[in-house]
Amino acid sequence: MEEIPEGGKEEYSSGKGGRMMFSRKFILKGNVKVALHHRSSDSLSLRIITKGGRALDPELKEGTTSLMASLLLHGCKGKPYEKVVEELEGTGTSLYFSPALESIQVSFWALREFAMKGLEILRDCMEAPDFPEEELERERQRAIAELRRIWDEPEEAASRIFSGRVFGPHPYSRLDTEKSLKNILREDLRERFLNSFRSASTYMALAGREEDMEQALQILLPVFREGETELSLPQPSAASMRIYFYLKEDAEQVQIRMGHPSFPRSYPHYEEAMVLNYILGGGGFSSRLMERIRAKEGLTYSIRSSFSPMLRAGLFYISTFTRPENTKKTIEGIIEEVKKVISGGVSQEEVEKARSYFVGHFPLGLETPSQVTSLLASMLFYGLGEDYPEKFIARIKALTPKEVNRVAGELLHPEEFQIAVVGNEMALRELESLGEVERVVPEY
Amino acid sequence: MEFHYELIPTDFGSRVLIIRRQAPLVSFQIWVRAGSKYEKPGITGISHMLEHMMFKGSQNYGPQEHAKRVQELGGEFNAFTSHDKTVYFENIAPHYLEEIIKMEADRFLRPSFASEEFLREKEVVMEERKLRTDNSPYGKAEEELFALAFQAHPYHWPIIGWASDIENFSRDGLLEYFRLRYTPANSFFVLCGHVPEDALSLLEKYFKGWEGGRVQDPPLPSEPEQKGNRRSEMIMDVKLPFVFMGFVTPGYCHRDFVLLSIIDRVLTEGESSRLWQSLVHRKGLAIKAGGGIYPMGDYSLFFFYGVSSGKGTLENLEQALVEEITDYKLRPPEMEKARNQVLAETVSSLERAYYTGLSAGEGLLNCGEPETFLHQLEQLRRAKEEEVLEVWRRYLREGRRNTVLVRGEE
Repeated sequence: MEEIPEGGKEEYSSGKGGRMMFSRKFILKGNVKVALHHRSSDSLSLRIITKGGRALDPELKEGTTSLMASLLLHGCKGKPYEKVVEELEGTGTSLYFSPALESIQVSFWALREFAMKGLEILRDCMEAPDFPEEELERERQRAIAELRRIWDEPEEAASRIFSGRVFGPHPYSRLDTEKSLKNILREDLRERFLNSFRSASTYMALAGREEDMEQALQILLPVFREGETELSLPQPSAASMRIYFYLKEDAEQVQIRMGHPSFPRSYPHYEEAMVLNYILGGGGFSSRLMERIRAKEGLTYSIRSSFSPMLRAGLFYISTFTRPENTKKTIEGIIEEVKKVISGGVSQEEVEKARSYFVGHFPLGLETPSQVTSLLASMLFYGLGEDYPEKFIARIKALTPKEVNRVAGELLHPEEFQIAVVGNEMALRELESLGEVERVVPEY
Repeated sequence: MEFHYELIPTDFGSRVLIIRRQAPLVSFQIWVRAGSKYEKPGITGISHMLEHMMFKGSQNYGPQEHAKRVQELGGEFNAFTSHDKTVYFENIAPHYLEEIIKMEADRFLRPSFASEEFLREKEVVMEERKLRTDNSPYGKAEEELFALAFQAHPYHWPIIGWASDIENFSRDGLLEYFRLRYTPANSFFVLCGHVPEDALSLLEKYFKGWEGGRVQDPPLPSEPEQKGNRRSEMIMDVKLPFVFMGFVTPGYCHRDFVLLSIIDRVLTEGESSRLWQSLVHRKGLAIKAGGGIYPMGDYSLFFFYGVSSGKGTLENLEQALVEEITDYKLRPPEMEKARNQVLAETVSSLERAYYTGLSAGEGLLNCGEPETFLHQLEQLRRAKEEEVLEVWRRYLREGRRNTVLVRGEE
């Protein structure tokens, strides 16, 4: 990959350490932090992350951010929705707004020859979305129907039950319902919009040719409004274990989700956590959960665990599925493996293999411009530092089992697992032998 | 658009497709002509079961050891089975290529297929089938649509196999299928990305001794021309009923495939597509509507779907879908849109060595030319409105339709 000179007066802080992975330049434009990755590609990739996601939705108006994001392209500066999508899709340009709990992400990819035209549409829609009433009504009805559809797919239903309960009463767990969606007014969308895409809370990464990136910045930077988006969210608290169950009578398979709140991205032992998770359930066939639940006991086709850290807090979760008659055995097996890693720790050999994976895998995830912009935008959003890739690899390489074991007890709490299950009557009977089960009815 | 490759025969009777380009990795792929169309009733799904068993150990590596080692090296690995082939791949830092080739050669030349692993893996495959098909209304409807659309050709049965066939698989049957199909002449290699200079000699070294010719398969049954619409109705535990629709169209190498892909863009691609604009946006009959071409070697399936919004009946939705599909008109911007979209997708997929390898492999497997995707792009550039309209009327017409309607229980 090509190197570009670093520094210059626009750089907001000087890069430290070598650039062993890929070239990158960081600049501050207005208040917006920008990362640039130069490569001679035929495309332009852009990723924007801005603070302010679904967790900021007002109570009883859950779904506001998602509706706002989906309506951004439904008419801008007087140009109707049909024309907006036709102009974007007609040039093969992809543009998505994805609302997460604490942020909204914008992903853009276009062929060079159409990139500026696409960016101008993006600019117009981020600057002056129309939010037409009739479009709001259409999207609202679609969102309400979509809430019903989720219960048709056991995988989606289990994930929804889990997401809606794992953080207890915290805003992270508040989900949109038919009632909340019906409460949302056009003014709510506008208010949510005006409080998003603020310059001091917006982070942008671009990959492409230098002249294209320069032009892209000229088009986009003026749209970000002054100020900051406040993320004033309380810390989620832990709860004791609970089991939630949704009966789907014709389900031949049981979907299982379990987990609890976890650490934010600023956690100082992030690398230890990544290695711990790799060994427990994140490392595919190398993980203990896969070895036991799939390879040894043949209970599932797939099982994985994950830490998902955000700005304020995070989530630890395990997801799998099994036959109804194996529900209890599977859940007990998972809990046993979690307890085992807390009490018995991880071995030198396991840590070495995990280290080797992360060191070898990291560069592979930097092949395409979109992969690079995704990493760079996250680095900016979470304040990881310009030399994060190099530091991450150095930290991983130096980790010892002792360091990993030190965090296992701090990070894993099986007694606090919130367990969401979707299955048939037999699965319910199996669950009842594990403890009290709270029946869930479809929420919409 | 630059695309250079070398296609080299190996001493052991196979071929290697090498595509060199700048990348932090090499994508190593082994393509085997072992897909579900080569199966027979009673052993449907055996190609996929065999793919699973290839991860269960070989002479020098224990069960899953291969997969674990690739992960340790930071690589990505997997395999997939389709109607026409099985593909094994590793995306890995180039300096580990030798170890990868060594492990692959061990499982291709000396697989274990241990009995106890075989029995356990059958259970895993049954769970996979439940996940993708039995427990998913959309998966079930897709299976039904293929069975309805293909009545003579083996695309009739699902890649994963019928449940009763999976239960009845025998280790002997698996071995027999492996010996027949997993031969050097029936397979080829793809190396794409940062390909080390010694890649070919490494293949020659480790795959030496792999023997067997190209399988002389008897001709597969042709799908007779459909005489009349077919329809299937299913009752499932769904809150939102939906409709799937499919038309049998020519395979990946046929010249009409490209012309049909223009129609696909017009009708189904994105929110500007006709189906979305009409069914979702204007009429509000569906919360989602779209489709695509399921590309295969011998035929393809041009499919459409609509998920009911609850407004109107399922028949209203079906009718609206049919009206859009048979609205044989093209506006000039729609041709341009299709061209731009295919060009954008090609450029985007060329940004990843893995996808570049897959595109080239697909061309080599089905059409004998790795650069098929470029020829298709060129054909798309030159396509004339009249010829697009002609294939549209020919394939997406009354009497060729296959419809699956899925309703809720109450």
